[in-house]
Amino acid sequence: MIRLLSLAAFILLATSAQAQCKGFAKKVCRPLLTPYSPSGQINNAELSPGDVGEIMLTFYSRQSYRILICDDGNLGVIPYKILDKDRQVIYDSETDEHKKRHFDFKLASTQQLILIISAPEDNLFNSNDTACVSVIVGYRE
Amino acid sequence: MIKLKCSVWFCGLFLLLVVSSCGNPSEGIEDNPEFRNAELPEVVRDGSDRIKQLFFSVPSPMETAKIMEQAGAFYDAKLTNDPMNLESYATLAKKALNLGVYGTDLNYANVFDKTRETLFFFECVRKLTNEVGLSTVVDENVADKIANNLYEKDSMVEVITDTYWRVEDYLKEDNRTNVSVLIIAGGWIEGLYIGTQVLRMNPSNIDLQNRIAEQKYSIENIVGLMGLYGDDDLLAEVKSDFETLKQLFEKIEEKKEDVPSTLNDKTGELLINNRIDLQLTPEILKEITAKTAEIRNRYIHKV
Repeated sequence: MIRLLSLAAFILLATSAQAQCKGFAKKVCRPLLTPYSPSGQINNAELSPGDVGEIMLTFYSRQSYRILICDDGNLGVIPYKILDKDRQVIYDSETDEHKKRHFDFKLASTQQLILIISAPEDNLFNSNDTACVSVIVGYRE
Repeated sequence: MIKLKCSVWFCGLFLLLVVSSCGNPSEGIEDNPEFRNAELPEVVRDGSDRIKQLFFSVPSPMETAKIMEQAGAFYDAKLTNDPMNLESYATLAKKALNLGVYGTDLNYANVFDKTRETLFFFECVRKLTNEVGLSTVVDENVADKIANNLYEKDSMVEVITDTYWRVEDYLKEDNRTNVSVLIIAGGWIEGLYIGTQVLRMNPSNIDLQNRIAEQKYSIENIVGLMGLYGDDDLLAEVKSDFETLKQLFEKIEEKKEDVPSTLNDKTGELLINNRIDLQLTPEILKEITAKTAEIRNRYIHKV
C-alpha cells in the first residue's frame, strides 16, 4: 500500500535512512560511478515496499553525466524512470532488457530532469522490510 | 591587499556553469550513424500523491568551476569574500552561509590555479567548519591532503569532493541538514555573484550570459529544497531572499523544442536533444545582477 507522508516526515525519514545507510553511498556506490566525478548532493532513502521517491535534478549542457541508482538489494531490483520537466519519460529501467543500474547521458540544453524510484510491492517482502537506496550523479567533460 | 580566499567545495556552482562557449553540441548528431532514435516518450502524470520521499539536487561547485574554466572565465580576486571578514561571523546562519561562500571562492581559486588563494580559502573553510561543529570532518588529515596536492588540480578536486560528501553525511547523521542547505545557498549565491560581476566586466560573453540564465533551474531546486523545511527559523531570511530572486529568474521566458533523443550505440550514452532557449533580456539581467549583489553582500557583511 502506498503511503502518504508529509514533507516534514520526509526529513525525519531521510535522517533515519542516513543512520541505516551510513557510509553506504561512499563505500558501495561511489566506485560504481567511475570514470565520472561525483556532483551534486548524496540522496539516501530508506524505502519500504511500495514507497516512491522523486528527485529533481539540474544538469548542464555539453557534459556527460551518469545517474547511479545503488541499493542494498533488500527489496530486489529497484526500478527507476528518468523524466523531463514535462514528465515525459526519457528512460524506464523496466523496459530496458539490461536493467541497467546507471543512466548515462548528455544534454543539448541545460535542463531539469526528474528521477523516480519505486520500491516493488512484492509478496516476497513484508512491510517491515526496507532497502537502502542511494542516488548519486557523476559528470565528465 | 591580499585577500584570504576561503573556498569550500560547495560554493562555485554557478561559476562553473558560467562559461562554456563552444558550438551546439547536438550539431551533426542526427547524421551520425552511431546514434539512433530512442523510443517515443510516454508521459507520467504528477505523482505527488504517491511520493514518499522528495529530494532536490543542484550541481556541485566543483562542477560549476570546471564549466567556468572551459568557458574561459577569468579570475578576479576582488570578487571573492575578504578573509578578513571571517572573524565577524557570529551566528550559526552566517557561519554556514559563509562556509558556502568561501567554498565557492576556494573552487574558483583552484580552477584558476591560484594556489596561494586556494590555501587561504581552505583555511577559511576549515575554520568555519570547526565553528559549525564539523572539526572531525575537516581535520588535520584533510589539511595535509590539501597541502600535499595543492599543485595537482585533479587530486585537489578529489579531496574537495570527498570532504564535501563527508560534510553532508555528517550533517545528515547529526540531523542538521538545514545547515547543509545554508552552505549550499551561500555557495550558490557567491557563484552567481561572481558570474554576474564577471559578465558586467565582459558583457559580450554570451556563453556566460546563458549560464547565468540557466541558474533559473538551480534556484528552483534550491527553493524547493528549502521548502522541505517549512518555517525553520534558521532558514527564514535566506528562504525569503531566494524566493525573491527566484521571482526575477521566473521572468526569463523559456522556449522549448521537442527533439527525439538519440542513443550512441558505441558508448551507450543517450543524447537528450530537447532544446530549451532561455530569453534573458538586459533588463532582467540587470535586476538579477543587482539583487544578487545586494543579497550576497548582506550575507558576507559583518554581524
